[in-house]
Amino acid sequence: MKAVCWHGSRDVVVERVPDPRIVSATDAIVRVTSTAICGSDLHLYNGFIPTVEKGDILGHEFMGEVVEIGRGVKNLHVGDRVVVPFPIACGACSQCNAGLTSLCENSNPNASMAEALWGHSPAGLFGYSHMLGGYAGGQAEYVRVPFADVGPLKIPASVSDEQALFLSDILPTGYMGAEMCEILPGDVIAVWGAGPVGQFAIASARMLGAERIVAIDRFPYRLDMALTRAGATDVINYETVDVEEALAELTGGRGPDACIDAVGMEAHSHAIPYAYDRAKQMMRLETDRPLALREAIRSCRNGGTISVIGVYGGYIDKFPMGSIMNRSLTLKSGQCHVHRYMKPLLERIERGDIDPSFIITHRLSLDEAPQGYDTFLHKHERCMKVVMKPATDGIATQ
Amino acid sequence: MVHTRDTSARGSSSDRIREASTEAKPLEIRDRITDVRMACVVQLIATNSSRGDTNRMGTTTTHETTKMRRHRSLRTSGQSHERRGAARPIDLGSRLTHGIQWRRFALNLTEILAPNALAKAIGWNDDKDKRAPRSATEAFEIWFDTWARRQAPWLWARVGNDILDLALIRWAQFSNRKLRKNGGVALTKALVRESMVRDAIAATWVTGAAFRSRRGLGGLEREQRATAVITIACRREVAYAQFRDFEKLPTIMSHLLSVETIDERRSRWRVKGPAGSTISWEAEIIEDCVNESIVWRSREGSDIQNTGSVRFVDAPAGRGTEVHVSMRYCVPGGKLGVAVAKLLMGEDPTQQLRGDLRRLKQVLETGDVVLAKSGGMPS
Repeated sequence: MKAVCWHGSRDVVVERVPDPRIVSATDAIVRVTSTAICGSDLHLYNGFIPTVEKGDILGHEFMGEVVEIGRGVKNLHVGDRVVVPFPIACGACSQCNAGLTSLCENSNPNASMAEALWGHSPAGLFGYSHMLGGYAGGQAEYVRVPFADVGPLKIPASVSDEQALFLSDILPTGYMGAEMCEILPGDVIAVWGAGPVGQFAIASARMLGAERIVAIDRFPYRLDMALTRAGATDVINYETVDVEEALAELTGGRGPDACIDAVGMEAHSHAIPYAYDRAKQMMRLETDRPLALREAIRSCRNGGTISVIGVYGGYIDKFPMGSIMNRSLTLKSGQCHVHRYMKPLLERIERGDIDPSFIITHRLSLDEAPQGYDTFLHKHERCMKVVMKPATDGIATQ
Repeated sequence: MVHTRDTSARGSSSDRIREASTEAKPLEIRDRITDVRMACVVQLIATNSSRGDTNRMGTTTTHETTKMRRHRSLRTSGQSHERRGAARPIDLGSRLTHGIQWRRFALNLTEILAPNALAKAIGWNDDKDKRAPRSATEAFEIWFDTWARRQAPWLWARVGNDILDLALIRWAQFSNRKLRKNGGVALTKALVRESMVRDAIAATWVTGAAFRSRRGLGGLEREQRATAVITIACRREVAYAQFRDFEKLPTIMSHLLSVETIDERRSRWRVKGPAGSTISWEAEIIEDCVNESIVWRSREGSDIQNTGSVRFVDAPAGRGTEVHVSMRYCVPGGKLGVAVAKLLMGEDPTQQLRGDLRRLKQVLETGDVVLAKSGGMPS
């Protein structure tokens, strides 16, 4: 089969690799009909995530058709059209039972690598480094899906691939980011990063009843989309406006009730701190550039919540802990526990509360993946989301 | 090098230890003549006392190694282990550096108070204008020797200093033709070289001692420990039954090749060793509390002497069962052996134990060992 393989920093190659096969009785093989490049794939693409090896198959946002199941699989049948959540969860451990599926205790066979870096290991993920399981990813024609009874969600024919695909990661991630804000009537929510996850965080905050939602980014086309499609009430371009000042102005000096960091480890800024963090990151003195996070913490109102859904990998510098402690801020974070959001969000899609396909700007074939990564990284052609369709001969892909 | 509790040897010999050394020098090339002179003086005066120690050092080491071999038997009691851990090792670094400060102190003081006399002793002219800075240097060296003589970084600095001295002598010979044929300078050079070797040995030993004490357990021939614990979402009886079925463990624990039960209490275990080797031992259960704990030890004639226990404890509020495994084992080469094994196998025994417990959890909770590898992941 063909698959998108990581070959090094800013180097992905579409290669012929062996087809996946059933390894465990609870596995399924899915023929991928739609797969997307995630913003967090760009961290891999840029070489900021450790333990990625040459030849690793990328991709953790995918859906498709079940073509083979292990003898222990009960909930799925060959031919089912499913979306697969990006964290791999066994459904049996205490974390899975608590609904925290991205913390599954059994799905990361390389847990010792993650333990060395983070103390304890989270769940294994599709196509996201060996430290997080070393599972082959979904930017391929076929994927082996472990614990097939637990993860994949069947999608009714009335919902298109493009509407359902983002249930695999970014829609639930954005939603969880908004949910962690525990939005009350009248709340102002500020969202750093108007990329795909930021757009869905904004849309989710609106669904959860926020009074005002402020999008912060530097690309006018992204701020436009936040305003016109996702439901932001205000936008701040941090390259032209002082963010803290603008947020204070918008909130009567209180600051946003909750701040969502949908940026993560590779934040940009036009100011001196950017050069500082960039230099430290290059010298391996810190792994992540927490520019958006610092700003979010400082801007938040006293007693407010910081919701971090942008991906961080290791260590950050100049973390304003004093601001968190003295101002009673709450910091919440996590890789999304996708499994628990898929069904309710599918219902919302069916009801028409949200049509997640509004973020798609580029539709490519799998062969065009290298170009897709490059376009997405550099935000060429007003790129917001790249979706690839590996299986062109198969089931309907509206 | 070995650790032992033989403190008497250390006490009796310490005052007889003497060692050649050389002085810390400023880096300026224009000081080179003074520096070479100082090196000469120090080496000449220190020569006599330096020879016996090397021999002593050699014999002591051999003696202790054989002695330690006799102590190889495995101890299982935690207390006796802690006591052995507390035993003071022979401190070679201390031996080599002991007494240095007094000799050097005298020299430094002489240099401060009577530089001309010293200079005359080896027939070189003194630069009178250098006296003040040199006095300051000497004072610094006194402080350096009294405070820093047993610190590894300073000992290494002294090795560097020796190298610098050699370079300075070379430089002096290069720029002053007379010095090339000077027998005193040639002797000094030889002495500085010897001193460098001695300093390097002392520094290596002190560095090693610091490393060993930081790691807690001692050097070669010591028993090693491996412990691991995991919480499994199942009842205690289930975890116990799965573990007690020894012959099935190799299907779960990837490092086990096979387990044959010989009778109710005895079983033969084979594990993967470094570089494709196989390590086997015969284990004897010495305590078996159903659903609570199993304690075993290896019998005579095993490749690796070991003893271990596994305990099954209820986690609070229905969180399942905590499985605690603790092993003590002797491997050839002790810590070094473990390091080599880690190099060859990619994991040390503690990591292997933890990985095996994780797989036990996977089997008990999900019914199978969880694998990432598939046809699609080439790496």
